[in-house]
Amino acid sequence: MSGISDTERMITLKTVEGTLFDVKSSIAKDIKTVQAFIDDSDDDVTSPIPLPNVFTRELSRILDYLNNHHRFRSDIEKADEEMARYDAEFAKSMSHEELKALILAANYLNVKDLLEFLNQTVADVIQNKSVEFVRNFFGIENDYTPEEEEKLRNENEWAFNGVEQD
Amino acid sequence: MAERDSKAAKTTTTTPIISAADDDIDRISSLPDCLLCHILSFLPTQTPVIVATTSVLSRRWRNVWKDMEVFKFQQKKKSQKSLFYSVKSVLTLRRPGRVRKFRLESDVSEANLVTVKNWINAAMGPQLEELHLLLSRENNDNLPLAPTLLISCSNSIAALSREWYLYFPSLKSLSLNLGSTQNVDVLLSRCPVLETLNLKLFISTCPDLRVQKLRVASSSLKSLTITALSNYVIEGFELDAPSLENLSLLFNRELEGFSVRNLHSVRNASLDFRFTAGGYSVIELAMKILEKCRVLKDLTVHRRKVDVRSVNLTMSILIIKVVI
Repeated sequence: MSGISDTERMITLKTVEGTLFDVKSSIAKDIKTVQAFIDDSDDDVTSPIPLPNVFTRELSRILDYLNNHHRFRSDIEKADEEMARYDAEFAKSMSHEELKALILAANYLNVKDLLEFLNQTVADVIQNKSVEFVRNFFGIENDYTPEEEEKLRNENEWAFNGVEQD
Repeated sequence: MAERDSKAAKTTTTTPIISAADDDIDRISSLPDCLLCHILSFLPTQTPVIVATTSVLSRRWRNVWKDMEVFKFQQKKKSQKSLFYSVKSVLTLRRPGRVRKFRLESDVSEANLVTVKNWINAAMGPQLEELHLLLSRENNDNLPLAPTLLISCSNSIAALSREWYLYFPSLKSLSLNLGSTQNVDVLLSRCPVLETLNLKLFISTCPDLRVQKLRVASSSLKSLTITALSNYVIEGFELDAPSLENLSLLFNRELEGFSVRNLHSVRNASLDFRFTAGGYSVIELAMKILEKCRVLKDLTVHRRKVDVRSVNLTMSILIIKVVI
């Protein structure tokens, strides 16, 4: 088995564009979709693993995130602090479009921690925003007629009674 | 980081196939509802407001919230009725499914306690990670409800308590049916005034579970019943309950480690050990417990005969029942 050798085994991932990324098998473990592929092949992965839904830009970001988090985790004392700082920077560095693209990639690759973090980031963005802002953010086309929407808004008034509004 | 251009990359165009702006709408509408719900679950906003706001977005979004697994209900001042209406509407209209988090902050009167109990029971499930209940007695702002709120959960407490934020500042009576003893002590530490604990341990569905620790430590506990019909060995049973008056123990499997402390208030004890082998003999075990019970009045020992006279105790047992 590969675990015996000192140098860590590398897994190669291939994006939609055909870019290849070499990834440590310890990092690949956090990418559940890839790990499932490895498990299914009885650890015998020699050719690049194709990721037909993931673009180079997103994969490179995701690997950056995972590599950094692995590095932080090796230093337990500072881990939380540094991770929080890195995460904040990571979230800030993305446009809304990039953020949404990354969520799709993280969801497809099943990187749980990252997905949680990204979804939290989206929630922070849309929190307390108007219906129009949220529509715009998600790229939702309003397919209600104005009358329907008005009616719905009136119907939903109940929701704002009896609860603390933010 | 190791990024290298392959032959494939060289032959294809280096610019992304679709730019983010173009495919924006397509990509997002390909998000499954559960992912959208996941995003919504991070909003600090209350559930009824999320429901109302998101269902206005578009036809598709009208039903997205119905798969939500996280619920937050907080009462605005003096409007318990409309909050209850909201909770009822949301819980009735949602699609049946798992609940991961449930938060309810509200006034509760004796009359609607049953309704609240039903909501909590509905929320209790193997997927529940967090349960926050802040229930106050109606018309009495500062006094927390003293519910003899009986929570029975047939699921493994281990699954329930991955993030165990339960806190019952006024819970007096708690009944738990569990597949695992994990986190029992954590739960007890969140029930500072608990008086009655009825703990039933059943066969665990987790195949790897061979041994479990069980720690019951509480300064308020007056009555403790443990019925352990488990398929795993209890390794390390700790009991520390200075106020305990009634003690009833049934174990069907041997106890590996064992420590009892502060049982000086126990007046009634019922011991039923249904195993023959193990780290401790049954007699040894019973004696160890009885030694600590200084004011024991009523003792019932099932199945196994214990020679009480051989214990050098300053106790004044009035009734001894030995059921063989």
